Amino acid sequence: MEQTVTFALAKGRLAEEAIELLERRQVDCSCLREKSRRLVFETEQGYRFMLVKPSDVPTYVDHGVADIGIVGKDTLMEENRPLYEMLDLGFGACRICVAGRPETSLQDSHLRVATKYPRIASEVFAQRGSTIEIIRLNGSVELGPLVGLSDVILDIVESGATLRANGLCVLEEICPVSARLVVNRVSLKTKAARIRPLVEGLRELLKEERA
Amino acid sequence: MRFLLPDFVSDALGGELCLKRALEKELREEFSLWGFDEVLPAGLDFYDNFAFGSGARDQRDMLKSFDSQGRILVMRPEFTAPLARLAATRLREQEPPLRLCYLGSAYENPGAGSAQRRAEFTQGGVELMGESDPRADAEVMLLALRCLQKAGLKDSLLELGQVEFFMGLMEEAGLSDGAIQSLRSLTEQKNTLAMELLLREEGVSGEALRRLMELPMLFGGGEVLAAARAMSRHPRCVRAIDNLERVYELLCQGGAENRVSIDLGLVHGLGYYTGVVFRGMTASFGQPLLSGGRYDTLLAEYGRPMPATGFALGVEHLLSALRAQGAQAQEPAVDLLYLPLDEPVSVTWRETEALRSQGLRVELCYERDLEKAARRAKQRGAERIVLGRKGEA
Repeated sequence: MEQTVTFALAKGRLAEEAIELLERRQVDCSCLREKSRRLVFETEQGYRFMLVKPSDVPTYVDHGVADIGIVGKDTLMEENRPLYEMLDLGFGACRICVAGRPETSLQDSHLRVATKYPRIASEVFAQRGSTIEIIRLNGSVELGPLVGLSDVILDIVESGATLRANGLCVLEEICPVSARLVVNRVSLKTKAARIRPLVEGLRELLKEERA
Repeated sequence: MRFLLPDFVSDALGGELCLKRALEKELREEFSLWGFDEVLPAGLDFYDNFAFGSGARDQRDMLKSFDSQGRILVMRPEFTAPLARLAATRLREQEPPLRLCYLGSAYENPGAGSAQRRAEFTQGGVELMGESDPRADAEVMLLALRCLQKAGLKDSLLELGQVEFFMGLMEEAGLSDGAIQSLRSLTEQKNTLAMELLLREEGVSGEALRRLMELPMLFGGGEVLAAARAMSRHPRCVRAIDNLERVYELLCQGGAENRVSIDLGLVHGLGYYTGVVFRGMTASFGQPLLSGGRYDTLLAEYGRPMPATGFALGVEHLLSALRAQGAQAQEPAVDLLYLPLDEPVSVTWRETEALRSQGLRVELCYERDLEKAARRAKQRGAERIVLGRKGEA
């Protein structure tokens, strides 16, 4: 019997792009396109798909309940789990940035940082030797400096339009991020016959498309 | 009072504990059958003992407190360093090789570092100190496989790597120590993208870059050895592959051919590994069950230079894997229920003792109502009820 390969996809735009990519590689994802409240989808090609909250993707893959995950690099950095990070899929590209009002100085002795990424924030500022206070938010982080909740924010920035619309700007770029394909450490070996060709095929496909 | 437990610890009881104890018994027996002597290092140790040299651990990962003089203590985070300390101190006079094993609790700060869900966990393993022979590597690997098999795992797999092959490639590429450290963990994560960026930044390009980038995907069966040989003629790499091939052959001769694979991207993040390293896993569980390898320089840091190899196995992980394969926990039970009724007490003690000496688990039941006793017997899994007799002592 062929082994089932389970994907955990980060719900939302990343999943849509992932589905398109997989279909270009002849992985049938049509079941995922149907509007439905189902959480798990099985296909005749022996794949199973789960749509989960982005920050849960690394958890599913680390525990091995999903063999492969597709999720943003920002989430991987924040969750920091031991996974095989095998491909940069290119889509979902943006930058992790520190942003705030243009006049804000990052040299201030004690910055209050509003973010969805407390772990990344504490590492970034610890590396430069500044002490900060982290204010954990779950969305609309840009509001922080506007209402005086925080001095700056650390967040992912795509075009910067939301920042500009709110009178904020990028104060410092930390790193670029994009969607990644991660594989469970055990699955890569125990399901090598299925996962390896898939990863290699996607690698080739991405190379061709970039060329 | 609501009698809660701290986060990330759990009580063990009932069938779960029976399963765990049975597994521990198997492991102890197996270690002993291979000539390993058990040692039990102190559960509380000095922080300093884990904060120096190549085995230094991140202080965030350890659970700490202070002694009366203000020195920092840690709950034992692992066993290899304490065993190295013992080998260099109390076991100093013992002729090598030393075959030591352990089985006990270890602790980790669950809030820090990598995503751990346990502050207290059980670790079992062996250390073979004072042998550099590849047969010693194969010996501990076969023992590791045997432990997984004895535990009842249906399919287990060992993957082998060689740290020296990686180090040889690094030397050949002329990279700085800092870059090597970063590359080691990136290779471990098979993070080819970050590797490529780092290597380009370090000025590696062309053929050298292409070769290094192959490393994370260099895994599979024996054929990987040939591919590795084609990658580099650097003497350090050649020696590493010769050694790995030898160990692989020895394992195949030990009948493990179908349960061993090679992954040259397996380089173990922990700095003290110096040679063949390995990891054990099973298809039904998503995380490695055991890991180990050769560490030939660690003992010198304790003042007793000798080569060594060993492995540590996570008992909770192994239990999860067994459950995933459908292992059933046996509830604790007795063999018989003994109702003394009106029997003289001296007879009761004598009779029950005689039954116990036959190896039967006897539960005394002072109930007089036979129906209730029968219910009790059923609850406790007792197959028989023995009734005391009225009469002389």
